[in-house]
Amino acid sequence: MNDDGELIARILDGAKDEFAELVRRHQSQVFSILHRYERDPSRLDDLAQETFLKAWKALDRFDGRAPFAHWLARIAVHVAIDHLRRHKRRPQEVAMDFLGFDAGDWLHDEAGSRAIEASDARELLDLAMRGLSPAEHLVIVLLEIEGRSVKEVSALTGSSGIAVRVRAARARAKMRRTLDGLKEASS
Amino acid sequence: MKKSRLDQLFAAARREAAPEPRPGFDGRVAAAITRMDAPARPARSSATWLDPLAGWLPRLAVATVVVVGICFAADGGGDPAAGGDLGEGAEELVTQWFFE
Repeated sequence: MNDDGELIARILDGAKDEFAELVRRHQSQVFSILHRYERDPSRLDDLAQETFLKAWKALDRFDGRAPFAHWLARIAVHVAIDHLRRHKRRPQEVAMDFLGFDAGDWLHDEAGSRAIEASDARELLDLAMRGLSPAEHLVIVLLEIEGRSVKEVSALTGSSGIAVRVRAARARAKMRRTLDGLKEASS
Repeated sequence: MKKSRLDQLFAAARREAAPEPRPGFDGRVAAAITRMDAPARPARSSATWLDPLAGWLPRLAVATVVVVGICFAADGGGDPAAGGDLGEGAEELVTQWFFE
């Protein structure tokens, strides 16, 4: 990835077609970030495309002080939060959703002896996160699912470390309440 | 729900593999860029002192036509038989406005 700078310099010098090479190098990273916020493949594709189009428009403002991958990740995170704001669902819609059999079973397993598959966990988390504000949703995904540090989340979102911690604590509490509600509703 | 149960969910979700882009994704981005007709790079417009003047010229032209039209109207439609010239007409008009 060290030659991203050279590639970008060529693109800015007029080799517009070489942007596709930049896309090929970083598309997996962008999909990896965005699929935490959108599961529908077609909409995920649109969001990834929006990320690269924004990167294209702003490419002459990339100063090379940080790696291109970090700069692009920041754009992807902003695309994700715009998406969350546009498609925010009301918390009361949560109980209306159908919960998968395995996810429901895990929820009712008081002993906690059952393991849960990634897709079932994701299903439950998606439901639990609908009660969160877009900013809380973003912080929880970055911290708990992507496993980023508070400092990284702070840099990516532009919020202070304290704000990130407060949002995360509030979000976890809301999610636990929502999951308790789901458990009661599905019993 | 206990905190540890929520942590189990996060840990399991972390294992979920990201989907790979559909084939041709890079080409679709390139096509979208072409459609968008992004500004030429790295060409940047070089503004000169003539640019604002060029912006003002149409308005200056219209204003000139209006002033000339008013002068002609005040001068009796530009009829030589009416006597006097544009300067006299303008002077007469000013005198009428200010002293009558």
